[in-house]
Amino acid sequence: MDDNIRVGVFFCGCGGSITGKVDYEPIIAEIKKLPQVEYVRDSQNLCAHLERELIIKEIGQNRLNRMVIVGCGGSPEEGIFKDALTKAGLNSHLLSMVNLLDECCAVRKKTSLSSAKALEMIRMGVARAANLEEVSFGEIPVNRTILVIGSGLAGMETALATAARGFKVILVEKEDKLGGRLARINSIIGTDRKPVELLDEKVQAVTSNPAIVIMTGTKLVDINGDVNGGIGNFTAWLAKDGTETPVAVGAVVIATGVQTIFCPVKYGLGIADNIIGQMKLERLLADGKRFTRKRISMVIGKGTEAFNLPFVLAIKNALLLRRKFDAAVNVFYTNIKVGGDNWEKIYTEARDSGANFFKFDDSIEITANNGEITVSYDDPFLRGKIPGYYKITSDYIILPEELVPAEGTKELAKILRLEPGPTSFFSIDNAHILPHMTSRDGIYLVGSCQSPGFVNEIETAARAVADEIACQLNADRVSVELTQPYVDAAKCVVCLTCYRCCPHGAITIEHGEQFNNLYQSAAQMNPLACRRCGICAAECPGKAIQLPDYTDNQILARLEAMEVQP
Amino acid sequence: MSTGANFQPKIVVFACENSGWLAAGHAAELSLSYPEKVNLIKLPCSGKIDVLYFMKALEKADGTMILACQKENCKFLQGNIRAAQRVIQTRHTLKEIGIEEDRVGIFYLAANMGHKFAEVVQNFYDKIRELGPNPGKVIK
Repeated sequence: MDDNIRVGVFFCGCGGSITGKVDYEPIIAEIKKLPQVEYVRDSQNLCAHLERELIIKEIGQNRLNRMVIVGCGGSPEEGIFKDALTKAGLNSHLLSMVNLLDECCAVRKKTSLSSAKALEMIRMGVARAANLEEVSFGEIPVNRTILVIGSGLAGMETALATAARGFKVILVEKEDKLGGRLARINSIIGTDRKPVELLDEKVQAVTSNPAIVIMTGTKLVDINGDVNGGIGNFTAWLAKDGTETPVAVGAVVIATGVQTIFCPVKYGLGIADNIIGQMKLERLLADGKRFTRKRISMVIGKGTEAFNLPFVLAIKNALLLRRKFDAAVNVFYTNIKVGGDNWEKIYTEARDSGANFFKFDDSIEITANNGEITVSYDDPFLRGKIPGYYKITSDYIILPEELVPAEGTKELAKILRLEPGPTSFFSIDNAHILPHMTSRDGIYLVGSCQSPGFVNEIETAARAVADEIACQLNADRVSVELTQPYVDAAKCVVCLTCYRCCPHGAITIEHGEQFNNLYQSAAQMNPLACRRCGICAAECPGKAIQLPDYTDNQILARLEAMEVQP
Repeated sequence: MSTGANFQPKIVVFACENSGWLAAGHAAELSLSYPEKVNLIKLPCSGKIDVLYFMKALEKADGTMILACQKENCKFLQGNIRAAQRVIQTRHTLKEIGIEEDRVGIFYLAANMGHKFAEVVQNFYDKIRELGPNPGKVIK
């Protein structure tokens, strides 16, 4: 078919927006002279319904096998013409759009130059059309088993949500029992349920679900450098008691969570019974310790501002201590961040209940003396008006802990080929795409492993991830358009450049007789994991990789068709 | 040879379809005019740019540039960083063969920056105009 290229060029007037600026008649006369152009027609508006039928007919009558649309370059319009091509029995990728409307007509007045520019653009479009290639659909077998790493609330919720959508789930936990950190919490914002009850209910649901296989005391390990494969076909190695077994899974959900480090030295304090971390306070409250009519100071600040959790915890517990124990609560803060569901309300309630909030800049001094804590600070609002430092004494002091990713997160990121974010938690893919996705398709994040989060957000996150997995792996064989880059094995020298530079880990090196080079191997792109950015194609030093619709030939042909002015 | 006051340089603009391409569409929506002899070529990501494309463009045009997404805002994480590297590479090559390095450039913008698009293209056009015609053009 390639040796007989028959291009049809269709001119759209776009209801007069284009024809008002550019005269089509002389251009059409010029375009007809091009060797590959078999058929030319201009129309008032190519988007009209009957036009599509006409185009299909014309393609058949003139045996056209490439189509150039001169008009706009919008994606909805592109869809119409792709549809027309498919109905005419051609591949929908044999289409070249020339964006005359945006690039020529809308931005300048009618001059002889604009006609010359339009002609040049159409020539470039035709040159590209001659180099277009067909793209086929492929069916990829996928594994519908999901690996969930971590069995905290996030892991269990995800396991339940994916199991409810018909997937098999392997729930891996490195500790001996399920539950994670949930049992250490006293109360949950936004609900009256006790965390322990919630935990029991989830553990019960997970253990009694036949679709969920629970593996405690098990870790994901590094065998061949990393997790092999892409979405639908991962091979993960699980180690238990020193024996390593591979499991084939379709997607991996990370729910490893967060750990806290209590570091009172940062505030100039040592270890004492009345110096308590925020999470420790939760634990004490859950165990039933009473703080009746005690004086309590809370400090938030000094590098805890990266996350919302310390603020919300402080406000929640300030309110609780006021209401339940009638304690005198003083909260010292540099900043209060309450941007979240109902948090502003809790903050107002805490103030209304009689908790005092004091702002400090940098200068805060905390001293512990015979079981009494003295906080002296400099108030930026009163500075200059009332002289001196302010001193407040209390029985207890509550300090925020350091929030760091759970132990082993760094190793896990290496195994899964993910880049940790700036705060060393897993980084989500950028905000354009789903917040629970990583840079690799098929690997998802739920809960505190991306940044310390809240119990009431986990259920939504788990469902979002389960829905995303259900969308991606909707059947045992997934049909996908093979627009991923393809590799000319004869040119591939297995230099691993593409493998290293792919931001989505979509490239694997395959070996086999079918690759006709010295090494009998070549890089292959996984059509499910690839996001078609073309970075590999640009990086390939041997020019072995081509991205469909943007092949080197197509782009260079367009440049070649440009006119040179002396 | 069209020199001096009448010289109208020709520029090839490679545009990432997530930013530069959309910004060009936005400029069109706002009817912001920019010089005629600017040809846009759409790429799926600025990381798809190749030294070869730049060099081929400079065989025909007087200047060429790539429009990438704002720094640290690439949809594909590293595309704009790689594009910047390609531009540096091209500049080295141009320097070696005795063509002004400034004929190739990279600019960062977002999809809703129609004004910035028109401004960037106009400024680049003016700069190339000052440089004069590209001596490396292949005239058949």
